[in-house]
Parts: sequence; C-alpha cells; structure tokens
Amino acid sequence: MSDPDHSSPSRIHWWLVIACAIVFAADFFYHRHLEPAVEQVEGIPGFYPIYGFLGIVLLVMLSRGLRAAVSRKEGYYDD
Amino acid sequence: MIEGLYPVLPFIVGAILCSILRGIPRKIIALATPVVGLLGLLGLPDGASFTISFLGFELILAQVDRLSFLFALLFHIAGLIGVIYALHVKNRLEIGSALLYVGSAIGTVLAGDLVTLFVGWELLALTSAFIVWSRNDDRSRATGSRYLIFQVLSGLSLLVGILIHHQAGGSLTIAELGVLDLSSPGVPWIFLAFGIKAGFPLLHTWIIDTYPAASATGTVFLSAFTTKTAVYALARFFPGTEELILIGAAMTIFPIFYAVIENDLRKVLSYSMINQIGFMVVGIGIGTELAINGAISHAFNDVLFKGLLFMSMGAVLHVTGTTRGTDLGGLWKKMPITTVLCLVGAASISAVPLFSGFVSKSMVMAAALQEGHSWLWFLLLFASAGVLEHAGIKIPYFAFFAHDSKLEAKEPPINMLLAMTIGAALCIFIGCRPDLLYNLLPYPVDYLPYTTTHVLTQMQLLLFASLSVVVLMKSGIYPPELVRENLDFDVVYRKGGRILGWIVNNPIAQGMTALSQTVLDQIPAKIRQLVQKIPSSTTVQWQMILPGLMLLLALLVFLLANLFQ
Repeated sequence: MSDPDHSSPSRIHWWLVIACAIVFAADFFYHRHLEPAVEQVEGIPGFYPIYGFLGIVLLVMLSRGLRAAVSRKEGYYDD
Repeated sequence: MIEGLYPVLPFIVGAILCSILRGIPRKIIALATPVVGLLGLLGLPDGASFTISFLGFELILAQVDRLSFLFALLFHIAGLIGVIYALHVKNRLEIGSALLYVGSAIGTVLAGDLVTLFVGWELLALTSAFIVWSRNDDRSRATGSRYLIFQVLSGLSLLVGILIHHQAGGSLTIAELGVLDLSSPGVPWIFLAFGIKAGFPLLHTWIIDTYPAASATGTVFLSAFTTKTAVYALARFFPGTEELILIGAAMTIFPIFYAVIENDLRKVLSYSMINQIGFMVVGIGIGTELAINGAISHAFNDVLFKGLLFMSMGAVLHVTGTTRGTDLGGLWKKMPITTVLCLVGAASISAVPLFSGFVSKSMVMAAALQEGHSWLWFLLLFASAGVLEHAGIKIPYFAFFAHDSKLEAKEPPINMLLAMTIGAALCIFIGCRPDLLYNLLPYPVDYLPYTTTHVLTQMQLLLFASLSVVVLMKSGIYPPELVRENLDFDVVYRKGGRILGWIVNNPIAQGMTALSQTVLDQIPAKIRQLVQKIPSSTTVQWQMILPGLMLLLALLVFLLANLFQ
C-alpha cells in the first residue's frame, strides 16, 4: 500500500479519481430530488462533492490548529 | 420463548456460575446466558409484568413496549456477540462482571418504574467498573476509579432527581410519566444523570479515558451498553426537548477534530462514539416520529458497527499488544480476515449504501430538514464527512495499510473472528434489508433510504471526502500520527482534582493537625497539669468528666452565639 509521505498515486487512487469523476458528472445528467428547506444550496450542481471535499480540508486545517493548542508530551498526567 | 422468566435472572445465575466454573463448562454457561435471557424476553407479555412490593413501593421489573423491547433485544444480541468474542478469556472477574453488566443494562431498559430504573442504573455503574479493573494494570486501576466517580455522580444525580420529583407529587411509574418537562422539580437532575452517561459535551471525558484503557474484550462490552442505556432513557423521557438539538450537534462536531489528531486508535473510536451518540441525541431533540425512529435505529446500528470496530481493534491489540497508529501499519497481509471485517464496520459507520449506517443516520438528517433546521443539516453533513475521515479511513488505514510496521501478527483466535463475522453480517444484512429493523421501531416508518438521489448524493459526499483525505495525505498537510497526549476537558477534572487534593493534603490537613494538636494534646495537657494539683484520689474522675464538660461548654457557647446573632 501507499505511504502517505512518498509515492506516486497507486492504482486504487486512480480508481477513486474515476469514481469521483462519474458521480460528479451524474449531477449534470440526473435531476436530483431537492429538499425544499435547502433547495437553493443543494440544487447547485456539484454541491455534495464540493461540500465533502472542502469539509475535509476545513476539518484537517482546524485539527492542525487543535493539535497546536492541546498536544502535550505523553505521560502529561503522570507527573 | 420461555414464559414467566425475568430476562435479567439468567445473567445473575450465569455470572455466579461463570465465576465458579472453569474450562468448557464455563464457556457453555457464558454462551447459554444471553440465549436463555433472550428466550425470556420473547416470552414477556406487553405492558407490566413481574411486579413486586418492596419497602412500600410497587416495583415493576418489566414494562414491555416497542421502545424497551427493541433495546432489550439489542442488548441480548450485543451480549451474545461480546460473550463469543471473550470466550477465550480466562479472567473470571471480567466475564462474571460482564454478564452482570449486560443483565443490568437489560434490567434498566425494561424497568417499569423509576426506583427499578435507578437500581439498574447503579448496578450498570458498579459492574462496568469491575470490567475496567479486571485488566489489573496501573492504568486501568486508576482509570477505573475515575470512571466510577463519573458513574456514581450520575447515579447520585438520578437519585436526587427522582426524590425531588417524587416529593413534588410526581409519579414513579414510567408508563404514567410520559415526557418529562425540564422545568418541573427534580427533572434537571434526572436530565443531568442521563447526560453524564450519554457523554454530553464536558461530561464526556470518562468515555475517552476508559474505553482505550480497558482490556480488548472489556471495551467491547463497555462500548455497547452504558451510553446506549442513556440514549434509551433520553428517548423515553425527553423526546422533543429542544436543548438536546444543540447538545447533540455539539457532540457530533467536536470529537471529529480530536479524532484526526489522536494516535491511539481505540481512543479515536471513543471520540467517534460521542460523535455517533450526537446524531441520536439530535434525533431525540427534534422529537418527530421520523427523528425518533432515526435516533433509535441508529443506536441499534451503532452498537453493531461500533462494536465491530472495537472488536477489530481489540483483535489488533490482542495479537500485537498495541493500538497506537504510530506503531501499527501493514497488518492486512497478516490479518486479512480481520482487515475485511474492520472495513465492513468502517463502511457501515460511514453510511456507505448497502451498509447499516446508510439506512439510519439519514433519517435524523431528513427529520432535521423537515423541521426546518437547515443550519443543523449542514452541520450534520459536515460531521458525516468527518466520520468517514476518522472511522472510515483513518482506523483501517493506519492499522492495516499505511507503512508496514513489520510487527509480529497473525489472525486472532477463532472465537474473536466468529464474533466479528456475526457483527459484520448483521451490518450488511440491516443495510440491505432495513425493513426488518424498521418494523421494530417505535413508530410506523414512512421512509425510503434507497432512492437514487440519496444513494447518489451520499456517494458524492463520501467519494470526494475520501479524495480530499488522499490529496491532503499526499501533500503532507494531513497531520501525521504522533505519540502525544491531547488535552481534552478532562484536564479540568484531573488537574482540578489534584489541586483539590493538594489543598486537602496541605493547608487543610496541616491546619487540622495543628487544631487537633491544640484541642486534643495541648489543652488536655494544660488541664492535666492543673488537675494534678488537685488531690490524687479525684484525678481519675476529673479526667473522665473534663472532656464532657468541655463539650458542654462548647455547646453552650454555640447556642448562645446562635441566640444572640
């Protein structure tokens, strides 16, 4: 399997990219059922892909900030 | 089915026998216990049964309706899976406490009155603490004590709440109570008691403290019952309580950040558990039929898939001795079956179509939209992506893939594999045939999980969230695993507890020592000196009378001070 630090995309990553491309393209061919409460946002083509992608980016960025704030050496409570 | 058998009884008998017997007979008893209990449950009539009089209270040991039956059924299934998973364990304390613990959980959800509920609540606390302690190392001993403090506080809060509620004329019979109102006397205490056990924000620290510290098998038991009993209690007494929406939303959000940076994979799962309970609490807070159905079915599914994930990490712990992401990796070659079973759990919790999470979590989200909580829906959607990141990708990736850790490993014992296989089969089965679970829910289900839109949007969300994780890992932005202690709110309790301990040990203890020396040593010594001047025949009597006189004097001063203040 791949190492996060160094290695070119392996086969499984290309399959992921292809799958992403297919479900993204589906938004332009299939008319989704929209929920009235969030119709205007949800109706934007590519809403779910963009939300999922950017959601994780936001999650990871904020987590880095959290680590900076709360991370201590192991055994912090043992002293 | 067996009629006239209180389902908790087999667990008590089973626990006693399992702590006496050894070898094969003990294994047979352990396996038979949840099966006999289940037969007893199926034989219970609807409504109240097993009513007994105790200290002037009319106790209803079993009150069966759709809600309590579903949870009791779930606990029997989880108990059976747990027993199979722990069948190789030779620790008699652990298996005995585990059976009593499962029985307590079943007794609590079946309880027909608040007194029985309280007794079950306390037994749940005590028996589970013994499961933690049975690992018998320094960490689990300390953790178990902290765990018990939280559980006892929850029990105390429940007792205070029930007493105030009863004193204000409230009924003790659950069937008469209906939904409790937070503004009525005693009820906030009851709410707090449930909140501690459910892991409300700031009260959640015992979950992330305990579950990574118990044994591989112990945590599988612990993770299934305590918090879900609290979810049952919230669904029973507080459906539609709006405060729960905010509380639940917070529970879905804050753990996903901690889960990204946490190194111990069982601690990641503990954060994940708070996040999943958050979805249930939100559903209970919304309180519509769809929302309650969603919350309950998600609790059912969560016990199975979270149990499966804890079992797979328990298997890793069993064979490698660690669950730290920094130490693990590349285990899929040595543990292929465990890897696949873990991936089923990961897919289920991430709500991939055809797996169980897909058919339950979306009910809560659909209910949020129906009630016009759009902001909540966006938040839950974000939390869903977060679940995929930590439970769907991080757990299997760091344990079984990533870099090869070269650890010695093999598949765990056959009973562990069997328990995981049963869990995985149920996850897939419910994912493919949700109607069978829906038929057991408290309200009739008018919800179709498998619409083209739902499947498509969910796949879009999950695939692009996965793509995002891959891109962030490749670019080195994703925070690497580090051996660190991440401070959570427990720093307040643990450091605060130490400061309190220091105050008690130092200023207060020194003050008390000085005071006691003055009162007990110096003053009597002075008096004795005086007394010794009195003729010796009277000395003994004086010494006996003097303390009494001093006490009288003190009382007199106290009385006078009170009279003239």
